Amino acid sequence: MRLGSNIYALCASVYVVVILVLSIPGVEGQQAVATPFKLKKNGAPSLKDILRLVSQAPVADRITDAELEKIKAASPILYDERFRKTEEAKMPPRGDLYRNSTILGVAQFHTIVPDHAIVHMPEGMEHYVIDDPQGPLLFWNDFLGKNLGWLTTQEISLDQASGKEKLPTLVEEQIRQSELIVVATHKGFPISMLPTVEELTTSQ
Amino acid sequence: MRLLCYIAFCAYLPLIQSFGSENIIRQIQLSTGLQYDFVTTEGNGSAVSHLPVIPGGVSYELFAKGSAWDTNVYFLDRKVVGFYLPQGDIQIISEDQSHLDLGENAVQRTRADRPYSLAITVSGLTPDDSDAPDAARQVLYTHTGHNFDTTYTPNGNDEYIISSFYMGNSNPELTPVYTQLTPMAPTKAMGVERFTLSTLTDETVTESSILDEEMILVWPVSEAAITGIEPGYEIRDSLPKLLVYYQDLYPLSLTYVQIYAGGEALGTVGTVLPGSLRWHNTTVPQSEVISIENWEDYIPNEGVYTMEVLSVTPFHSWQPERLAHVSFTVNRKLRINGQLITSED
Repeated sequence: MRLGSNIYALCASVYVVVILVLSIPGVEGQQAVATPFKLKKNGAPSLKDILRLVSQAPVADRITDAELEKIKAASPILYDERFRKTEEAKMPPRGDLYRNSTILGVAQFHTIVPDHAIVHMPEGMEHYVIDDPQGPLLFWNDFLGKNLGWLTTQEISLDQASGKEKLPTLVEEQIRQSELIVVATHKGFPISMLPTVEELTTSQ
Repeated sequence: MRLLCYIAFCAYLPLIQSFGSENIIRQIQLSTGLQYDFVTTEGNGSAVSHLPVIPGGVSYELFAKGSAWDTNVYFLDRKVVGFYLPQGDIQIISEDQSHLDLGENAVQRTRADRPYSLAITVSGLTPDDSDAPDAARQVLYTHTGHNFDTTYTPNGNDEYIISSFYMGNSNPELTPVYTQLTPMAPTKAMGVERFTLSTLTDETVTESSILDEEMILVWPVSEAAITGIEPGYEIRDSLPKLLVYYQDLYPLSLTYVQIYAGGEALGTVGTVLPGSLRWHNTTVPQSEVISIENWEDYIPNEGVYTMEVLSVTPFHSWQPERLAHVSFTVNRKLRINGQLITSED
């Protein structure tokens, strides 16, 4: 290919890249990344960096499944004597949101409260406590806001929650007379309410 | 005893919601069963523990909702404060270091065919040969996998164990580590691998605490295909319309189509075709079909040409890799097959 056509191709290439760079959509407010080049405000590299990147010679073909299998077989993870295999495979600790929790639900959605957080259940309203989640999970504040017709709260202290302190008699009476399901809360969020020593002794 | 409890919210993008959405911190006094579920919208921060730490320990668990179409609630972390609290630390080092600009808790990522390294540190345990209980002498190290589907989330797939070991005080480094996600085609492995150090349970503390857990996102190797032109195709007059398929382009990549005169030769720098350039700086792989039209200016002469799809990523030191190529011939000469006939009267 002659020099004249080479220059033509180069100019055409630069022209094309200029147009392409100007039209590359970027992300507003995108932060710079740990790349060997800076990013513009729109999140795209500069023209200079684009040209530099595309002017590099390709160094490898896409790896095939067979090639990768061979490489991985030749490079297993080398666990030495500092690692003692467990007798059987053990999963790491994983939390279960529904463990130790009571599910309150209506047809469209549900929420969870700690076990022993429901301190009053009026007769005939037991159906709001369900065994299996229905619909998406709403966190407590959202669920309460949507179900104020049958659900209410009673703010208690940590000492009252842990059973060290009894609720005032007036508060206990108000809870007993409520026509709504009452959930114990602390600073607005559901908390278990453990029995006092006196209540434990009485129940035995 | 109140405890200043620092909880680092792992920016487990895209699997958890972005900053400002809701998370649950669950606190449980293990010996009494007293449980408190506290909802917060903070992306990270610290707070005084609401429940006092008592003999038997207190467990702190963190759950968060998924982002966008993912309405699942994910368990992220658990810390248990008790009598034995060894130290554990896991560092993952990937070739793609772009997470550094997303914050110290951003999740690293790699590609299905690229190795990464692990640096593990365990300390604070009593010596192995002492008479102390198991929970005081060793911790549990686990490696798990969690495959994604085409939504780029687990979407109901279960996390599975890849390996698990007991460890004492030590600081091994593991390299190279290739993804162990199974079962899927090696180059299309996609999901997250987690490495966890956790305490063992005993009579004094009945729940395990996560000392450190690090995860790395694994994305599949990109693919590409050029259609509309077959290898060895001869272009005579009309130019075929080409479609180029970009599949699973790496979330941080520059991909383009180039053309050059001559047969295929890896390492050739050609001319970039208009409309083919794609820069991506996203959280999940990208796929697209693009049309190449009016490219006659790039084949001015007759002869053999090669078209290639190249992609530049953090791997191979930001040098291009070739995803696909096709060679064809331009032959515009007009041949006439005919016969000269004369007639004589």
